[in-house]
Amino acid sequence: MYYHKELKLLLVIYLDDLKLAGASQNFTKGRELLRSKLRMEPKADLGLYLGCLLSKGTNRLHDGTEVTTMTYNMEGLLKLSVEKYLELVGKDTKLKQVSTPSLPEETKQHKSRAPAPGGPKHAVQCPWCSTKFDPGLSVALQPDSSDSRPESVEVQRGALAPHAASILMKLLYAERIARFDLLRSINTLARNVTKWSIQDDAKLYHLMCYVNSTLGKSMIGWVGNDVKDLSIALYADADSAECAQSSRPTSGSHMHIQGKHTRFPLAVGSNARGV
Amino acid sequence: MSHSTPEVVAADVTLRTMGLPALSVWETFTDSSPKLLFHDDNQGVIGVVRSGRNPTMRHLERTHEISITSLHEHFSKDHFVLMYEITAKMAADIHTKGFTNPLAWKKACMLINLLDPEDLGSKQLADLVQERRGPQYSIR
Repeated sequence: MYYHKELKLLLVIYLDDLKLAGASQNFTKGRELLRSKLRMEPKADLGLYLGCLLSKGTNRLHDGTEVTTMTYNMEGLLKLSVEKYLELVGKDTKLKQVSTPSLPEETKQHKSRAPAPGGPKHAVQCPWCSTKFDPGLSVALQPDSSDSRPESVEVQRGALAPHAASILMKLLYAERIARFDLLRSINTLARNVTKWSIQDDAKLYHLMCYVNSTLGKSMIGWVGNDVKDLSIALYADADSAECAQSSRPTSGSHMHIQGKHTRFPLAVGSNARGV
Repeated sequence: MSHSTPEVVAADVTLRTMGLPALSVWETFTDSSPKLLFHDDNQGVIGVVRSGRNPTMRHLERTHEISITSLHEHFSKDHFVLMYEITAKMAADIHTKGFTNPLAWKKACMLINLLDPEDLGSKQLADLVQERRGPQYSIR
């Protein structure tokens, strides 16, 4: 990435793809400077850039203000991801229509949070949750005999374990460019690549169903203010140890450019933290 | 672990890894410093950052390498603004929680600019992204 201070132009180069941004009155001079050193094809409008379809337009907000919009569409790459997934699980697999990428998550009753059951002889009943447990045994050594939850199902290795990383990384690229809604689901699954269970298979299937249901979903940034009226807006949030397996909290971050008639996303983050 | 600890960690990570680098880039491009509006939905974090100290979180520097004093100093600057944001308008919510309700999910997506072009002129979007006029917690 290069920035020309005098012309106020930003040049992004990735192999043979070049993208120039900045003040429109300096574009011609900037292109001439580039052409003096490089053999280049004629100038093209925005289009496919690094797998993302970019399109510029105008639209009106609710209060009637006309804004310039930039749309980021990753439909092509996401289609390839879905096809790759179907190749691995079998072409006969039907992907259902779903509205959100997450399956319901049970945290309060999860096995890792329940009191250890203990043996029947020394068991006492918790007056709060009515669960029976043996207070004399350490939690790690407690037997699990009376636990009716399907532990064996949880630890069983999932069928997609060898391919999970490649599917997730393909999705992660689309997420980083334009599909911020997939970030949490992908990160949650990516943490389990080395301990992939059949539950993760189910979560990945649900995620792929969501991706397939929302292939055309685009990220739209709009700008309707002068640069001097814009601010950087940061949002920080955390959950309270919502990860059922590890009880670790997740930090969420979001950053965009903000103005009265402007909202342009810049970066996001979703990371599990130590406690 | 205090319930505010993950929130302070999130605030610190967001400011250090996103906010401060973005300010440098912006200053390079425009030769001016923009306002940095920091939105948090936790009153505890806002109180800690405003005061610059919290005796119950002395472990943060050792366990998370976070200096509350440093956060306090950043927000003492003129162009750093700390704001309380209601959870319904918290854009980072979508990156921490799993949504199963389609309506809540649609709103969360709108907050991060994932929407249909026809929704751009909707009142729902206008209400969601309207700039807050409530109290801004300036540290100065």
